[in-house]
Amino acid sequence: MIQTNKTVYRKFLLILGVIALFFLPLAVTNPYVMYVINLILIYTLLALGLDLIVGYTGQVSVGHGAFFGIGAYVAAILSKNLGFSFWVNLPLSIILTALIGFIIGFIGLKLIEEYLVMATLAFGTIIWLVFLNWTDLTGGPMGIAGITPPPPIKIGTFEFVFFQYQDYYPLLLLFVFLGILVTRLIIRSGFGRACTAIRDDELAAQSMGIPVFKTKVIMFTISAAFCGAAGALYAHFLRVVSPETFTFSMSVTILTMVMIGGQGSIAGAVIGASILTVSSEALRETPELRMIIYGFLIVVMIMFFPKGIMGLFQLVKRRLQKRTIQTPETTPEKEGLSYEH
Amino acid sequence: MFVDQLINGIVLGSIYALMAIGYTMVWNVLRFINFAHGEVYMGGAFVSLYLLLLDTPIWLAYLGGVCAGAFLGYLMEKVVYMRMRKAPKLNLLIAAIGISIVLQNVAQYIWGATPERLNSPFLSKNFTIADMEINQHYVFIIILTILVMIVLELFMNRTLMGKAVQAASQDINATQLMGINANKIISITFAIGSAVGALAGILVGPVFLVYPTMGVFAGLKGFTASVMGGMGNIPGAMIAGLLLGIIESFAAGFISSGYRDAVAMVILLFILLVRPQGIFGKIIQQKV
Amino acid sequence: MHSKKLVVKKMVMFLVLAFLLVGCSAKNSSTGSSNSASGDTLRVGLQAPMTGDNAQYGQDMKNGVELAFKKINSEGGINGKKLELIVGDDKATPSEAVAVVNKMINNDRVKAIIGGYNSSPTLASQEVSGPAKVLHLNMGASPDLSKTKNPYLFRVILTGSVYVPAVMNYMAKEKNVKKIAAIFENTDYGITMYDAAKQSTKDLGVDFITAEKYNPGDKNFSAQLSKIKTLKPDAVMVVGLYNEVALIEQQAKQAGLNVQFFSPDDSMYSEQLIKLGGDAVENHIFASMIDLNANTPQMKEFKALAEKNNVPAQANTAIAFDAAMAIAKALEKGGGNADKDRDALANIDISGITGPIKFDKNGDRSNTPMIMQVQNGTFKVIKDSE
Repeated sequence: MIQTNKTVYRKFLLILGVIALFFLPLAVTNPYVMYVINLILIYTLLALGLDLIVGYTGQVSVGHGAFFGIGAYVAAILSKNLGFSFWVNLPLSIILTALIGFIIGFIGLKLIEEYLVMATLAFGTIIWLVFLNWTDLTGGPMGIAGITPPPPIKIGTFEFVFFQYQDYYPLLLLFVFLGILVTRLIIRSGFGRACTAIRDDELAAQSMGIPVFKTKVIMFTISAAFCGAAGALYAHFLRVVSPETFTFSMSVTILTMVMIGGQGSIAGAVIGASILTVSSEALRETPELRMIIYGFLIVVMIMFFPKGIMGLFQLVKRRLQKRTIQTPETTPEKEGLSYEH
Repeated sequence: MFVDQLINGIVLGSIYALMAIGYTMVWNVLRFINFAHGEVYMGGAFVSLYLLLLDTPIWLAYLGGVCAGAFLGYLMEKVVYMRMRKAPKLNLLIAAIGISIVLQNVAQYIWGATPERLNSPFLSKNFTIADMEINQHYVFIIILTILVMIVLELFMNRTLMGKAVQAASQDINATQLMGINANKIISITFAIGSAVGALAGILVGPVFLVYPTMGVFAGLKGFTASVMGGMGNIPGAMIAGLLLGIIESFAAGFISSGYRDAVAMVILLFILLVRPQGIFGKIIQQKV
Repeated sequence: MHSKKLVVKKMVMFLVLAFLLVGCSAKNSSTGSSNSASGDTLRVGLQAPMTGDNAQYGQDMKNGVELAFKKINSEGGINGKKLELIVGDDKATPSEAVAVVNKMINNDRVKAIIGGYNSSPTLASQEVSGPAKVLHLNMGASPDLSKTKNPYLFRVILTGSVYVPAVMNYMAKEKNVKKIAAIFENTDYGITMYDAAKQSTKDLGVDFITAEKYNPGDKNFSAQLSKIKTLKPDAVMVVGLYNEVALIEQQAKQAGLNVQFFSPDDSMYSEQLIKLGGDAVENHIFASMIDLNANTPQMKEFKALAEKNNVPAQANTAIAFDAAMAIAKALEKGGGNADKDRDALANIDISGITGPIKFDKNGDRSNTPMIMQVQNGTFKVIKDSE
């Protein structure tokens, strides 16, 4: 009885929190802060997407910055050349990015571990060079400016406009919640469990009858689709895209967000995206120092807390519970002994 | 035009070959890709540049840069990688990326982002051979690269230390059982690979300038060459490096210079998918 | 199941917490800024590349603006208010420029922005500063200001359509050049300059035999140069910044391409060109709006000021100094009202280091450039402005 009361109470709090988040712009008057928060939301979507393939399926990609770029450039090109609105561009961006994700996944996922990392790296670099050199379509180094903001929506007497940052925020928040919902649905489904099985032991998963390659490719495609959505949202938010945003370092940034937050955890993706975005904006005045700290943070985290902040949380929680309950979420660490080969 | 591109290709290829050696040697003993290797290339060039500013003789400045590069590689291994021997490969990879971000920005913090030219006694002179002009510094690069390759080959096959490194690359655990200090072998491997990488950076400095992010693409190319040659295969890496430089130069000259860097990436993808053991082959890591 | 709920709850809590944290810290800084802004300082932003390949330009511009502000502040400031400089690093890229201009306007509440240096970032960032009604005095050569329809956008340097004919005329008439090969940066700047150069060829009887492009940051030009070499041009026009100009000419000499090199504008007018290019950039010809050896009282005053503050007197330092003086003058007259500031800048008429500062209805200056050449490692005027 007490238990159910507690869960009801928790659910209530959760819903309250979610609703409260939508009204955040009322409390924040500084447009720059709103801008940073919006960036966090876009990065959260990216981290969620990458986590699907890295954290839940155990396949590492350092090419997701390119998927982000494809999403952004598709939206930008459609908006600029054909005058399409955001509402048309978004689904088209997602579909096209997913399609390219599918092709890349289909070609690349036959490779394992380092070889997959190399292949995604090569792919990401090629896409970036295409953004940089296909001047007729992408504007080359100049990028594409003057992308239109999403047109307003009218529901009854309410009109939602998306011109300023605080107007754009609920839209982004909606997509982040949608992303979280989709992620939860996937990882709780049989398909999601197949993915975690592949992550934990690929051979065992295969012997259990899981179609390993097919599962990986589908997850990779979904993961790319997340980045495509983030890209379209980014293009219509910043209203300018240029190639240097989508270099290798973008892919690394997203991966770092996932690693620092903690792989295989929704909360981890949110935390990683928040920390990295806020710290990089806060250190904007000292750009060299920012990157030094940033790199240092990556090395220290990966050396001493390889499971990220969520891993740390769980460790602390388990200590507090004095090992009364074995939390089911702990995943066995994949031992990659470097001395064995 | 054809000969021009061929010469450019051979010069570039020499640099890639030198870079590839570092990747392939580290792969041999630790089975991982040291993504921070490009930073050794940059670090060596910067130290040389700095030494030249202090009025050091050129040969000493170059040598100092090479030593600094070797030390940087040694340090990387001792401070970070050695503590991560049991960690998954992905973690090592991310640590390497972190190191390279730190080093790039430390360089920028100390020396600034503006590209600087490293001095070379040969740069402003050309040889003229039958209507063809060849820059002396280019010749210097090629000669030095050949020299390094010969020395490295002798070291690996004729010295006890080199043989220990070779043994370690076959089975590091067994090597340790034989009474060879595995950590020492790993350190030596890092130092040698890094010294060669730093030399590449120093040789390039007079032509393509020295700046904090110079190692990024050089690293990618060197790494592509090491995959092309077959990971772990040192002579393979050298030949593949040369090949890559030549292919790239011709592609840039006859197709499009904007896609120069894409050529290496396309080759990398192709090799990975079609012939992951590289053109010249070498046993790759078996899945446990 | 239970623990997952916990995680989600924690996540929501963290989100709220993180956002509050950001909100607080930023609010602190913004209240701090509004306090000081309403008190005794006026903030002006500098949008320039402070890191990356073009960092030298950013540093020069920062030096210039700081010199001007120091001078103004020591003379009592503007209407009793001191000028404060907020530096924003645009990394010479469009998306970073938008981000940084955004921050300067919304968080630091700057009244005006000087910069950027590169054309494409300026074109992107003026879409933020325009609607926010913030004066934007840029140093990019290419954007056609009338096309932006932004009344708050001005330009302190000359336009491509003024620079290019001057140098083309000189090359055709004095150097008797007939066949020109062009190599230009594949950006708004390079493309505009090349198009302007092509326009002027018809009357002069010269021809562009090839147009090679490169991307900003490229270091290897051997492919383009050996193509140009086979075509045997009389001269090569390089549109680029000092890094690229120095490298291109160096690599051209290495490849045995020994012809006259020239540039349509003064964006490579920097000591750094000589430092990087050495002998290879000797005899390089370009059109310039400023001569650092000019014998004018403004130039003398500027050089004395630079020496006193231990700042190298570079061309871009001087131009940025002029920009800062013009902005200060406009802010003084307009008194902080966005529209009045704009009108004051539009009708400004002062004499700066770079000659009279006046803007036409597009926000451009109409001074005529001079022709300069690198001789013995120094920049010499070889033809005065008309």
